[in-house]
Amino acid sequence: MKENANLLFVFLFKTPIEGSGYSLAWYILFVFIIAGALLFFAANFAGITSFIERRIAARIQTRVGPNVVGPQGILQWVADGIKLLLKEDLIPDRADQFLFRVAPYFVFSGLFAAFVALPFGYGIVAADLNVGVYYIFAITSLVVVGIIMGGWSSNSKWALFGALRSAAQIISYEIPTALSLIPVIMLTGSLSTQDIIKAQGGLPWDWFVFHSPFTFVCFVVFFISALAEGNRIPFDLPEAESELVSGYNTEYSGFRFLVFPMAEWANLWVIAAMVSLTYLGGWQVPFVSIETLSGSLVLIFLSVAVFVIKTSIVVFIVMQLRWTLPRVRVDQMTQLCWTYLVPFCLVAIVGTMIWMLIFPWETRVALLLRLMMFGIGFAFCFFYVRRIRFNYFNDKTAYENLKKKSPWYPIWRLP
Amino acid sequence: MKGNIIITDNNCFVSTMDDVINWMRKSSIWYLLFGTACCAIELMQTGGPRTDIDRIGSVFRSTPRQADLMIVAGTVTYKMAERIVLLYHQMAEPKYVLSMGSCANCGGLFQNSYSVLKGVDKVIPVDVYVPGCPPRPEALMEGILKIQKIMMKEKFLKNHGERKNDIKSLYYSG
Amino acid sequence: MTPYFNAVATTLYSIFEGMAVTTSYLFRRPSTIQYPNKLEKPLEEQLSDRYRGILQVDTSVCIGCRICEKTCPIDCIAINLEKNKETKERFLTRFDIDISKCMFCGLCSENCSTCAIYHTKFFNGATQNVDELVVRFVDSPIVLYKHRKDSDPKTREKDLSGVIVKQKMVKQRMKKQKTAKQEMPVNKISKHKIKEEIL
Repeated sequence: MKENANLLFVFLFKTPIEGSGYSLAWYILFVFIIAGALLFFAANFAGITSFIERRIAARIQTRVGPNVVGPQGILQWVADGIKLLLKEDLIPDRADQFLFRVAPYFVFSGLFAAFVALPFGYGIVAADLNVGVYYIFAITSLVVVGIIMGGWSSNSKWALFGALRSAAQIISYEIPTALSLIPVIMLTGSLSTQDIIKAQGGLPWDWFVFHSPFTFVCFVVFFISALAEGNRIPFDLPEAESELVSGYNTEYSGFRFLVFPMAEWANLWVIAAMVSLTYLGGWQVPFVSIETLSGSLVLIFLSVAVFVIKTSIVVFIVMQLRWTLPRVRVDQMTQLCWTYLVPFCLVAIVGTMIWMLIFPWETRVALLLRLMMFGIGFAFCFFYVRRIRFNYFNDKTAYENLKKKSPWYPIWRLP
Repeated sequence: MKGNIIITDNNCFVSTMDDVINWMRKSSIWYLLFGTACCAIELMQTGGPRTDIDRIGSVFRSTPRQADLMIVAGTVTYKMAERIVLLYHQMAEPKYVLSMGSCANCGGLFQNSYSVLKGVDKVIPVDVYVPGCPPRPEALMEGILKIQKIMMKEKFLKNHGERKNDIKSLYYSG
Repeated sequence: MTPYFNAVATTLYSIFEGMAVTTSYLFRRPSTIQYPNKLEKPLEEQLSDRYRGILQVDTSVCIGCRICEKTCPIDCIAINLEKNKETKERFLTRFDIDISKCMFCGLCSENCSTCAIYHTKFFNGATQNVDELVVRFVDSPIVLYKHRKDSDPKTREKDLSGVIVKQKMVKQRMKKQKTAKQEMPVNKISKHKIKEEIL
């Protein structure tokens, strides 16, 4: 935190922050500026992602999605947000007034605090904590406190059910999430997010996903359990619409309700950024070493772009999973956690240890094996594209015979 | 929002703010997810791919606290009417009611039945009536567009977010 | 152990297949018609000719047999006939259809011998006042139609877009608004005083 503020100060005023007199005041000012910038980013990301997800979901269901509000509907999220701000703020008669009011802030501050340790590019991180990864896990668990408070204080059985499910889910999925990152920490030797990224390389076979089959398993486990921690479908049991009315936020209206989905969408960035920084190489630019990266401002912006692109791809996959898979049952959810994810993680940790001993990172054999792993991953993507092509052409002639027009209407063509 | 803004009558600033706010409100009408009879099937169809109501920003909310619009879709029996009144009271202001189909309008086909309420407007104030048995999805969409028109006429800031204006007087004013 | 790993393999494979299906839909044409502002062609052209929309009466060919009134299962049609005793001419003085009540069964239009009453393709009658949905087709008394051998009114071209109904509904609304401006009616149910007990 201090170094970053100092760097920014030197960049702006050409003198170090300590020599300027009011150093404490400057530090506090920088803290507020950075917090404001992060809040601005989180809120806007949450809004815009909600709009984009509605469009993508609509196209998956052969609909169009919001395209009336503003040009192509891009003001939809602003309209939703301001409408919710203007709604009456209802507090149920027999609700616990204090807890009911306080709960949304716990949820949002829990997620917002995670943004502090998330990097956006080379050196661009609010606070490069030396326990960054575990700080993020710890602080996002604050969400479950807020959810339980909201669910219990509502004095509604549906809200309480949702809150209890959420508690069971988030707390049990903490374990595979934490375990599945141990291989990364072993490979890096540090918990700092920047160090984890620096230990990887720009090219795909230098990422931790393709280090060994065991890290690949851990990557899958981490992705699944991160989804579960963020209450995303197929693990959106706390707000299951068909079972509980709306889960823990049943009794919330207006602005207090707005905080919950905002936190949920902001959490999407946290999930995707964590996945991309731990396993997908983070902001590492291909063919550029870290020494050259630190020298030029253009390359730093390029690293930000690389990180945002990687994260956006993960966000897109998370969105698509939401509209592909049905919701799991409660027993299936716990079974998946305790009988599949945790044992797989434990095996993968031991496997990675042995792999690290036999094939150290720098050796040629290790590079060859990483290339092989990358080849397998590439083949996987290739077959995925083949399946998409197959599914498209499978229905093409039938559609053409019925509707007398081509079904080709890609997502970038805006209706 | 309540009491934070001092408002004078016919202030230019207030009227433009009203327009902006009303535009925001009309762009995201969230309707309550419930149906009392067969019109509910057509209500689902309205959210489906062909008449995509998500286009104008309308999505369903399953809890009355977060809904703006109540679509009474189908026959209202006396037993169900109590629940509908309860749901109506649970909704947060400003709230709107759309009566969909003949049964909700005036009892329709079951108007001589011993157990059916003759029109949902006997228990809750209704803003828009959509005729049909059941109405086409496009007809329901027209009803929602009509509610958007009502929203645009309202003076939101002057009434501090509550719909104090009589529904009928708004209609008759033009 | 085999079922355990089989379950893992099945899960991963089915997610893979499902994702491929949903991704392929991102490249397909949406089936939305984009009503009302971005229609490719008017919706009334997309409806079939036998679509049962809002009823319309062509009063110039009505013979006053009252079959529609009798067959209507829910009494949403009201007809009044008058007879001039000197000239023995019969007049149609009232032909009201309560669209808010109508269930679009088509019994009236099927039995009409001259096709005076028929379904149009007009479907949108959303109003703010339920009284407006009672459409009055007769403003002043109309002489009833009599069968002639040279012409068959059944074969005439019907106005399926529902011009008459639309006109009558607009007219009624204007009339209501004019009278209402003079004496502002009190709402039947005041918003804040809803009676908790029902009937």
